[in-house]
Amino acid sequence: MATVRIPTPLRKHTDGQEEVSASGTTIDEILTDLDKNYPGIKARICDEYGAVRKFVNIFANEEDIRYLDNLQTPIKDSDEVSMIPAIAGGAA
Amino acid sequence: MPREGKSRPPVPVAIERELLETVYREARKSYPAECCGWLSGPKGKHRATRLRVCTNAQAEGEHPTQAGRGPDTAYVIAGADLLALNRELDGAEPAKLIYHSHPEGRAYFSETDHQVATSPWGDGPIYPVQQLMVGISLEQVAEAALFAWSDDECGFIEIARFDGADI
Repeated sequence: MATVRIPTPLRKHTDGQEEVSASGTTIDEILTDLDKNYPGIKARICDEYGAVRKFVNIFANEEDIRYLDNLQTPIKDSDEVSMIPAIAGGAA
Repeated sequence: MPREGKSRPPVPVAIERELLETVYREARKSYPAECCGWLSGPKGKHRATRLRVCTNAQAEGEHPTQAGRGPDTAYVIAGADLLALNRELDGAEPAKLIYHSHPEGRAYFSETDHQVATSPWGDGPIYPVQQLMVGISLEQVAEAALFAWSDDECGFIEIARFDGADI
């Protein structure tokens, strides 16, 4: 099982846990497994078309999955998956 | 909609002037692009003691979070910095505030700032930190202001304002 780090605003879905375990061989499978144990969490991460919401970053260890294979990025049991809200902004 | 019944207003994180001017110098180095980063401090204390400069991912090519904007009007904290901030939030010296600059602008909390700093999953700030804005022009740092989430207003409000400097 891979380790998944949960962002503070979503910890209410995981009973306050910072880290949970999920099984799967890709990010997509990890999210699906996570949703079985914590219903509703996948819809917070992905939009109605199944794509990762633009304000959410998913990292496989230290790598942003946008620069890997996105939701099809392969995951091993020893990997850490982090779901992290963006920090951004600007004038106007 | 503001909530009924008042709760305690947010208290500004204490920032020494020297540390604030370090942020001003970072705003100058990045000018005319926006700078970004955070100030951290000891867990449980309401003061900032250390600066962490971040890479503005918008300067390295358009980032999907802020598509259609350049680094002169937008910032996106780059992936490695974002991971570090999140790891430190649970550590001994968490981020107390996130800063960024508005080149050719004033120190205000823009609609974009508000939108991104508010949790899209419900009421509240997306990160448990205050937000420092620095308004900078070609000539000087005009001013800075600190904003924090207010439960009463269900939004960010200005809680402190700082003089600029000839930096």
